[in-house]
Amino acid sequence: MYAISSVFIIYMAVGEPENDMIWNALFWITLVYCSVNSVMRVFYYETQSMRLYYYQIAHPHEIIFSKLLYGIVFNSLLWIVTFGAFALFLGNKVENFGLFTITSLLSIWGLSSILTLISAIAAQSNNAAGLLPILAFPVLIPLFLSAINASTAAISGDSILSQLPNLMVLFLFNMVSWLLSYLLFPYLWRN
Amino acid sequence: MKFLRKHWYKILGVLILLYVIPNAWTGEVSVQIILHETIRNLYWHVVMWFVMIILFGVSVYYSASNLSSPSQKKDIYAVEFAHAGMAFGFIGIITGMIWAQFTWGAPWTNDAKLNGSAASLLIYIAYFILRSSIPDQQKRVKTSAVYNIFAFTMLLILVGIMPRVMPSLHPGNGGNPGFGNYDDLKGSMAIVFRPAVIGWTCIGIWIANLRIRYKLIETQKELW
Repeated sequence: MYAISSVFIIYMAVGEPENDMIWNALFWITLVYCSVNSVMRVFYYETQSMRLYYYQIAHPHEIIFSKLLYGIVFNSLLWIVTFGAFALFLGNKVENFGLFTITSLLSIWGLSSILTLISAIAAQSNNAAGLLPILAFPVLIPLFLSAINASTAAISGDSILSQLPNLMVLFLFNMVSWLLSYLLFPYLWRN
Repeated sequence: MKFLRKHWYKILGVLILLYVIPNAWTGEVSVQIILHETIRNLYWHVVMWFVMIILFGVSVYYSASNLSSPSQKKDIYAVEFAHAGMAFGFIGIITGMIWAQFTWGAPWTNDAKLNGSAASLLIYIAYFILRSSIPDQQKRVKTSAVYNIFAFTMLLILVGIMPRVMPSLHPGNGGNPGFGNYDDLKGSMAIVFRPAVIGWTCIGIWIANLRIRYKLIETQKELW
């Protein structure tokens, strides 16, 4: 709903953007905004008693990986919806669709994994909703750099091989965030 | 901690800097096109980033050991080393901006390393904000330790891998020659540059040390 309504607002505001770069920028802004909103509820809307119940029935690793999986699946669906809405209202500017799909899926997965761990951290404080963006955005800047570079290349129709370094960085981000979630989450969960 | 009462590293730091600073202003440098004499900023700007990473590394070490055996003392260590690292980071950015003004013509450009350095300082500002928003002390120790480790790992990717992938105006990236290629650097400049890193690290530890001792006294006062 967030996704479609924000795409529609963009459509009403700018119509069909002539510039590829602007299309790209709008796409990423919409995607980030929606995914932050979706991941925030993963830990935020849990009550204390629910948390205690989970704590008793499940191992912390099971919990963090189920949350990671939920975030990844949900955000992938969100990506399909957003891209569909963009293609419908703003026109499809992407020339190399394969590269674009790989880039955005990798970065969406990295995004949701990082956001999941950060929202677990933010949930410890007394202002989780306000703290999540502050904690997450500096960490996400490098991810966006790679993602935007690779997707700009995809829109202008470059081959996958030319963007291999950026894709490697995105993949690395996924690996690192999963590893850190695995190592660090048990300590957060015990609090 | 016994290390806090040692004096040798302070003396070492001061002695090294007494050697480094005059050499940095007047020593022999390899004068290149575009850079000219601004290459002397190497002794300040680059050194500051080295020291910042070292101090953040120490901070993360204390955070990591905080997870297995939490204590307020280690927490103070982690925070104050991060504070000292921030100070060097800010000086690094300012000296970098001065340098960029003279060589690239603008204090800020859209460059992979500049974005990285801005992000790394934002990460640690976020770390301090996180600390101030958790009232419970034991919770704060663990949560901020987790964030510190997470942020430092991202920082390593940021400064270690990203600049090698992205095009950058910095030396050694995007077809620019690295400073290692200048033959003069290997001799006369290296004997100033390497001690400078050690010297400023000693000073950084000293700054952190003073703040740690101040905080320890303050918390002891609270306990009484």
